Amino acid sequence: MTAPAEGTSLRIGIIGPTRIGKTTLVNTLLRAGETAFEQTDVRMRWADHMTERKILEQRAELEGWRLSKQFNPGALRGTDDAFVFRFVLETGFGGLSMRLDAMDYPGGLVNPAHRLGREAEWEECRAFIANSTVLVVPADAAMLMETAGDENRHHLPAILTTPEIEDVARDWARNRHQHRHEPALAIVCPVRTESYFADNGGRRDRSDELLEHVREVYRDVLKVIRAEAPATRIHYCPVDTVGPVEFLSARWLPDVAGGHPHFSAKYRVRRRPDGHPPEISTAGIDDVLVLLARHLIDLRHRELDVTARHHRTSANDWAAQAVQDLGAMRNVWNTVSGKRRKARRMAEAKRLEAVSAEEQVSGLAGQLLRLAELGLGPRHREL
Amino acid sequence: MRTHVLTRGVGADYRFLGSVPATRWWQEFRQLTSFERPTLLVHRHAEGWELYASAVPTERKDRMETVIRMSLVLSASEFVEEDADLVLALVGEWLAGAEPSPGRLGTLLDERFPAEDTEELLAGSGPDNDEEVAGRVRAALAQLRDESPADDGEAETILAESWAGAVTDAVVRSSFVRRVRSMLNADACGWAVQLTLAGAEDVGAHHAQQDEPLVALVNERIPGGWIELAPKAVRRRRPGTVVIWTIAVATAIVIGLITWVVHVWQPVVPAGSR
Repeated sequence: MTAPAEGTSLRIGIIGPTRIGKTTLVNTLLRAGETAFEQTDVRMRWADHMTERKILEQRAELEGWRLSKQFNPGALRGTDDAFVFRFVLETGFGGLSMRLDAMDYPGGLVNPAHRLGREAEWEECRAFIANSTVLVVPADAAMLMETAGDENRHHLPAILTTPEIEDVARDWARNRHQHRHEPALAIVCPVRTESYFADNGGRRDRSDELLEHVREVYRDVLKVIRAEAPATRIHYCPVDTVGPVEFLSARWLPDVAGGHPHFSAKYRVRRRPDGHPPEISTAGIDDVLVLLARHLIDLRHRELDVTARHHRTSANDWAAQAVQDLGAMRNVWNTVSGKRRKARRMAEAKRLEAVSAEEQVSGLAGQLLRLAELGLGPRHREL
Repeated sequence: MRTHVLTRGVGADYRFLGSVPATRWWQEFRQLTSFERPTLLVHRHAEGWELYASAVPTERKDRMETVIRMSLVLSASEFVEEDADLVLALVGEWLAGAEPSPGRLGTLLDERFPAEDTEELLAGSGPDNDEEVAGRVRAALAQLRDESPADDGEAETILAESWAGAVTDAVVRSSFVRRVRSMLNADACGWAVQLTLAGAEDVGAHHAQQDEPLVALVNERIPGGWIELAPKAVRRRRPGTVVIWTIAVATAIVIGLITWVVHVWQPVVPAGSR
């Protein structure tokens, strides 16, 4: 089981190139975790001060955009060094909670041409992702949509580092296949999707087109996951991380060093009729959260189920020892020496542990049911 | 003084303009600070000192209109007075106000690293650039030093070996600068760090896991301005069972030998004395 032992954490592996929005996605996830699941008592929150402050730092930048009515996805600082966001998922049952880690890292490390001298760092990130229970692949929706029919579209694999993502996804999938008795979850998350859905202030619904582009550009990544870990459920969850913004224009900038050109998108802030600053309004992130919570609680549920069975078997074995007929002499000796009393005591202790674990199993099953009832939004698809 | 500069271009991702430092030693603090924000780390050890100053904003922007940052990694194995002066000018400027900031350093580095030159250095990044990069950084630091006000030399200072203090407190900041001076002069060793994420408690937990003295500036209100950090608890190992048994057996053998010598090997008494 990759379900966590006491004091250890489950991992979420995020794989994507530089400036794709990994940090923003984690941030949005945590913000949503504070308020989602209201009917279930399931909560996701930060687990240490550093994670809390890191999230507040970026939140302040987002608020700055909102108030200044200037939106620029690049205005968020990139990531210079790896940082592990630490979360707690409260299952909402019996005080059971699970530690969850997500590693954020400079996306430049994904590209071998950009990681000169930082190979050891990349190996650490790669190992973290490979050993994660969930794989998240963020994708830049504007880049996928606005380059259709463009002569520079052939640069997408290099810019989005899809061959490198494929390699990492292969490692992850192989690792998951080794734990094939556990559920495996991969989520493809297009981000900056505000202009392609009409459910969050957008004017046009181009969601089918976006899905097709994701399927096309990430085809080999999806293929390798299916081939190496056929039991993996691959979900598609497009996410608006900001809300009131609209894609305006895009251009390709030449690379001064003669490499691949760079895609640069401009956005405008949607005005509110009353003239007040727009509100940050995310969409689609609840689907990611529900999938994560279901997956993690399911893992914990399976782990506890195994524990409960183990305790129950052990209780039965001790109970059998307590009444076992070994012949008159040994029966008398076992009674006099206290062996039978000890067996009865152990049987009772194991029975109580089994009952407690079974209660948790049943409680978590209830929470899983409630999470299943929450359902997933209309943006979600299974790939 | 060895000098490394980390920055990016319009397209090129963050990388060192010259050679890459042998280790990314500053990562020891990666869970306690955002290196994307101004962070200052100074480390003094047996082989010399090293400094990491991160996220100095430049006037350059990347393809996504993001302000490009510059980070400096300086190190030396020997004390050179001029280098120490330059480093102290950087640290003094960094901590001149209640909010840590590179201050004038950003402008001075921009003057020495204009966009076109930086793109060129990035395109050919490698050890061949080391001398040029070091020269430009040195020139920027020298100008900063020349513009810096002289140290008053009389300020109150914190004497504890390890402490965490609020960065908003002027006494705490001046004590930090003095500690850095002692470290450069090899009068003190350990860490002097200014962090963006960690609070005093987090720093205390980190310190409890390591052996070196640590002074830290944190973004947190601390009653009295600072708190002393407890040294790493030294665990006294209790002697193991094997040791106890070895001692017991050895004692028994020695006693046995003495008894045997006394009873079996009787002293020879001269006949005439009976």
